[in-house]
Amino acid sequence: VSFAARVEPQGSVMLVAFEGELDMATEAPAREALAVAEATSPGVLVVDLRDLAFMDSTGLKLVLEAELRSRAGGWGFAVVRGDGMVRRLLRVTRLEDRFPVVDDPGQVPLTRLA
Amino acid sequence: VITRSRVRDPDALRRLARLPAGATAATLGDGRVAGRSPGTLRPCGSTTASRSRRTARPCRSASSAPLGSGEGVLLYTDGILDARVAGGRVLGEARLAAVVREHPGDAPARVIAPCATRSPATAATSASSRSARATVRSCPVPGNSRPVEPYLSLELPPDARAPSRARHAMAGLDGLLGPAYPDVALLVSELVTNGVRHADTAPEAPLRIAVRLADDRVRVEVSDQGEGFDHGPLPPDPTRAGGWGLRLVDEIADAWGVDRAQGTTVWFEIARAS
Repeated sequence: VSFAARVEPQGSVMLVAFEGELDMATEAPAREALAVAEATSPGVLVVDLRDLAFMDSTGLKLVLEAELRSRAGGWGFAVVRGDGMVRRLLRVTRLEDRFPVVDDPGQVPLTRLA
Repeated sequence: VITRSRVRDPDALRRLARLPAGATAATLGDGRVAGRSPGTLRPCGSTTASRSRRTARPCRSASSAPLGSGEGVLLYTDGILDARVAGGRVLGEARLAAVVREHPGDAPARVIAPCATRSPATAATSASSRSARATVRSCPVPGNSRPVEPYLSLELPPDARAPSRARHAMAGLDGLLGPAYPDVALLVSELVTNGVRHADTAPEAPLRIAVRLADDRVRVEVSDQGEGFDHGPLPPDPTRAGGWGLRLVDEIADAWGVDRAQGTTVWFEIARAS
């Protein structure tokens, strides 16, 4: 299963970008990338899902767990959605209402969320 | 009846034809079991007009009819159809169907609400028919139709690579499924993931995946030899991150269910462009 995760500091934003297919086979490296980013105690953690060719509920769970940790840790959190399936997943589950979901990392609010 | 599986198909309600008052036979099912008793229940000692005489009915009559493959049993009372809604109108089958269509996810509550002013029994006696009946009817269940030969079937070891292997096996169906393909691939991934997670009772047994194509829909079955699991979708809980798999199935599939005849089979159906 092809998958890659990239952790990339961009000012106060810590970007975690996933690429390929995110399911139970690739859950571990995705989780590890999130842990690496969170260990820096970022201003805002941005999870970029645009380059995912596929994601199922395993990915949803990872994103939701990261969002819960952001609340506990006091950093901002946002998701960059892709087109197609990932966008549909976020809409069907109504997670768009739960945290900021943007089309481009430039749209992420750069302040810490309360 | 109109509870668990969402009745998105308005014809499902039309097939659920109402028995005329006093019907005695040939109305159970859609002709397959014609001639058998419709299983009409009447209160003990009630009487029914029969031609010019009034005859006492037994407390209840029992009848049996074999269910064919893909048939289900619908239970309903005319107390619902005869209930009066706002404006004094009798609800009736057409309005009931409209209510169900409008509220596919919460039909029972929405149906009951306009009927709540009168109990079903009261509503029935005030409507055209004289007695409330509990009617048993066999009919094709939407989403549980006659099985057709699998278009594609495969067996996979229940490991972490199984979901992607199942998805990639589906990739050849892309053209056949049209716009439904991404949803089918997602739900296959969800059910196979569940199968892998719950395969611990039989780690050597393969997961079996069958894809069946009908003109108007695709049906996918994922079977394992495990003991199964609680298969209700979890209610939304903002403090819990997991439990989304079956909720996605519930949100996206037109119908789904669990069959525990041999091991555990979870199936779903999605409409496809014909």
